[in-house]
Amino acid sequence: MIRPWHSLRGRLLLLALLVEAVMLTLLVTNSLRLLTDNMTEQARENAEQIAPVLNAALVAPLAQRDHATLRAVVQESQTAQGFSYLAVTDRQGKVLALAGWPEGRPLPAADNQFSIFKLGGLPRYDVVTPINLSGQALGQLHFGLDLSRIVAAHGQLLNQGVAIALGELLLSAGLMLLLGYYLTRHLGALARASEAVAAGNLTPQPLVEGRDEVGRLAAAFNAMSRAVAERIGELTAAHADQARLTEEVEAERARLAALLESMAFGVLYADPAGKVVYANPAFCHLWALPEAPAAHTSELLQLLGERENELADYPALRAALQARQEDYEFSWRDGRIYTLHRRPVQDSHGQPLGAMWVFEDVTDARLTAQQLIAARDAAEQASRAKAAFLATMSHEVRTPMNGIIGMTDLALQTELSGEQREYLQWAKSSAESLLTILNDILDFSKIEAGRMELESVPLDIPALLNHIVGLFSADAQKKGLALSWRAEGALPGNLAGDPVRLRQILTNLVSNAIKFTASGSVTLAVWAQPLEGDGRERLHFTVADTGIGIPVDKREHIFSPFTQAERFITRKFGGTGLGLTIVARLVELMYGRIWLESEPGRGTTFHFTIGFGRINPVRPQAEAGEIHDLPGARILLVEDTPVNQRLGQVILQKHGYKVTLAEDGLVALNLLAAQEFDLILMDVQMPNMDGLEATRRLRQLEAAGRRRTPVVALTANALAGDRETCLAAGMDDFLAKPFHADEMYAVVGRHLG
Amino acid sequence: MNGIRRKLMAGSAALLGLGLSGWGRAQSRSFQLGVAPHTSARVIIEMYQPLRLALEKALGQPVEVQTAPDFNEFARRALAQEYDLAVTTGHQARLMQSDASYLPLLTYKADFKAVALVARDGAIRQPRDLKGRIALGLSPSSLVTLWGQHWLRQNGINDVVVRYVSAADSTAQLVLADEGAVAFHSLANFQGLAPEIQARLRILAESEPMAGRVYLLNRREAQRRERIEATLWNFAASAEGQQHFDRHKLEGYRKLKPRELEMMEPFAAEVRQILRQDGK
Repeated sequence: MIRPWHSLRGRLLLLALLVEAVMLTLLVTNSLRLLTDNMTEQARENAEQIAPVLNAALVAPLAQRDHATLRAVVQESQTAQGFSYLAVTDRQGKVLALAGWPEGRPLPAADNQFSIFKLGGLPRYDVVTPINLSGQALGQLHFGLDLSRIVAAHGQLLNQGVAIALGELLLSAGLMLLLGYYLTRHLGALARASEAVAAGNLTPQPLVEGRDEVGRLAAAFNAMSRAVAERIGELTAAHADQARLTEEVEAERARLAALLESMAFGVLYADPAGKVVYANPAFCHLWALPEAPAAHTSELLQLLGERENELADYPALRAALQARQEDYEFSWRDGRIYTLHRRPVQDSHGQPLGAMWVFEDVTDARLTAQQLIAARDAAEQASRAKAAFLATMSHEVRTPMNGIIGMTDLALQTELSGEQREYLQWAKSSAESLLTILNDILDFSKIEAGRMELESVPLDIPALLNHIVGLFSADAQKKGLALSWRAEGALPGNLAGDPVRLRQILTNLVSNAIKFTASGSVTLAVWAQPLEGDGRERLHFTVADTGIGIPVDKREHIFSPFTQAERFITRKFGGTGLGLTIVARLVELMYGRIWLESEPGRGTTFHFTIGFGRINPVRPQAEAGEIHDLPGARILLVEDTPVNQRLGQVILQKHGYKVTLAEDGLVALNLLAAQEFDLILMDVQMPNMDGLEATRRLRQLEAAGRRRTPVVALTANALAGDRETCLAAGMDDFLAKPFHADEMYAVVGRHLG
Repeated sequence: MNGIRRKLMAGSAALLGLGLSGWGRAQSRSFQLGVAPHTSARVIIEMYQPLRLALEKALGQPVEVQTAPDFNEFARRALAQEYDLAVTTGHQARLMQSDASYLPLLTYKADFKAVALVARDGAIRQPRDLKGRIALGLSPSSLVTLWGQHWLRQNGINDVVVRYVSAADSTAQLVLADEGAVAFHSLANFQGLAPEIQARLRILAESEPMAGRVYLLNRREAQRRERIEATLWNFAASAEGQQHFDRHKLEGYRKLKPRELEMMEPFAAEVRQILRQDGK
């Protein structure tokens, strides 16, 4: 128990009371002094002012010896002016008038100085002043100024001041006690809480917080207590975590040891100095070690060098190890093949702890790989053979087909009997069907072999759609179907794509739609889709018919090869069943997708999207099919196949062209050396000198000064790469076999115009 | 014989005692110069200070100038021998000469006249206009008041009520305030009024010259008469005296004319009568 004046509260209280007592004493004393000075000054001034007034009032009665008036003036003045007494004496001191003073009692002498506290006397200021007039002394005025009011006021002020000061001290003491209690109760709580912490209770009850200093101190203490509690909790949790981690590390170490001991890979770990620290059993087995090397006893190179004679090329292995090569493969003299993988081991701060080598016997894997490579090579060889076969098939089948179809066309243009014409038309139709089947098979084969290559040339979508509709308008008209196309919204320009394959897709779909629609309409539509992330312009095409529709259970197979909705359809409508498969593959190759909506008996709508590239605007080429005849023009036809020589000659001559034949490129060059031609139609595959070589040589001659002659390739190779090959050789155009007469006229007209 | 001697010795001793006591009193008390209250006490005290100083210097004793609340009281005090040297109007001088053995010495050269003052713009144009009105006087026993009452009677105006006030300037103010129809003043006092007051007043009647202020010496000072009289004349000849006369328009001293005081007897008799009535 601390003594009251030893506590902060007691000291503050004593100090405050002491200061206040001093200040109050000064205040009361000063007030008394001011009051006394003020009232004294007033009394003195009053005395100084009243004396002349009384003098003036007393002069006349004194001069007149009017004692009655003198007494009246004195008595009235004494009662009215606050005098203790008032008296007038003549020059000899005889009292002439008297008031407030006992008769016969000597009048008091005048006070030398003004003082309200006269020892042993009444509070009075005695004044004696002569009464003169014009230099004549008429008498003397005696009066005593009554100071009892000043003394009373002084005493009253003193009493009240002391009372107020005492009250103030008592009130202050009370307030200070209350304030001290209010302030120090929190301090007491804080002290108790601190003692509790010192005693070991690190999480005492929270203290009352507030906005004042003590409240903030309590808040800080609470925060400190919470922080201590949190730290203890964290330490406890960390301890638990550490124990758990230790267990986990131990378990992990056990698992890792089990793994290392059970795995087929040889694992060796060495410290930064190259000393072997650990080797698992597989390593000992791979290197035929009788037992695992003791840690830090031997070096890796030394360990492996013991097998030098058994290794096919130990110096190379040693060099790889010294060079810290990460991956290395080496062989044993007995044919085994090992790989090693070196990986540096670092701690969490990136400091090197050593390195780990993993050795693996890859003998079996290497043998398997070698077998697979051989198989792959064989497959690639087979694929190349297949491609060559396809190319050959394409060329070899198309060449006679060109003759069949062309000659049939020529024959149909001659005068025939009705029966002959019918037979020839059947022959032509069969040939074209055969060509379609052939093209489908070739396309499917190319797609499946991954050899389908697409062009990227400027596209004119409206022209292409016009062409499609024009191509099938006659067929649609025959069946009474309405065939049309429309673009919904503006189509982007400057598109690049493969017009042949897009035309093939549309031709196939429109052909199917007309084929499977008995009445109603076939409508093409196209619109632009928003740009996607690949940066391609995407068009959405639809081909809608009002035909027989496709049953639900057949739709998922509609794009599978060799599939048609119903077998009778094949029988009824014909076809290989590859058309939609090729269409779907082409759409996918052109960055799009295809799907359908169908309702049996009401019609089908095929949807597909195509992603096109963008190209810079180019000057539009002359429309395909725009023929500029130039009768009399000299054309060199370089063709080795007699039927095609004849076919071309007849077609060209029918339009008045002068045709000169050459059997191969060599003959053609000889002819060109002798004469000028306006156009050269050049077969590509020919004996002695093919068309490509002949064209290259011609262009060389032209580079030396010869006039340039346009060259159009005639080829039965339908592969896309053939066109580029021809153009690269210096040819100007490309006409694929088999071709129709109109196609030939179009190409010739284009280059002669 | 012894009886006669004892009586003579006793009488001599008494006379000696009286003489000694009178001398002793004269030596111990101050010389009293009484001046009739013809104006305010303050003016009188101030007016006679030069003479007081001259007398003090000449007599070698303190001199006090005093006056009285009114003429009656002055007369009573004079008759009671309170003044060693008195300055008063002719009729009181006559009374003091006859009834209290005062010795007349001299008077001022300037004529003393009484005047009846009325408001210049008032209704009083001639004496008969005063019938039934109020007249104002200084005191029943003052010379100007007695003259005024005589003048009223000579003009056959007997029903005027006379009211008495203490100071001469007050009567003039009261006339202007219409508190009275006529005021009886000495001409000298009238001329001493402020010019603006004088301008608003009119003299309705004026007396013949009279003995205004006469110096009288108490008979007990008879043995110092020459000395005192010489002091007065010396004062009149001094610069202070001339200044005193000029300031108060008194012109100087002159000796009394023969029977000049006796001619005041009628007024003195009235004063005597008044004093007698007051004494009852």
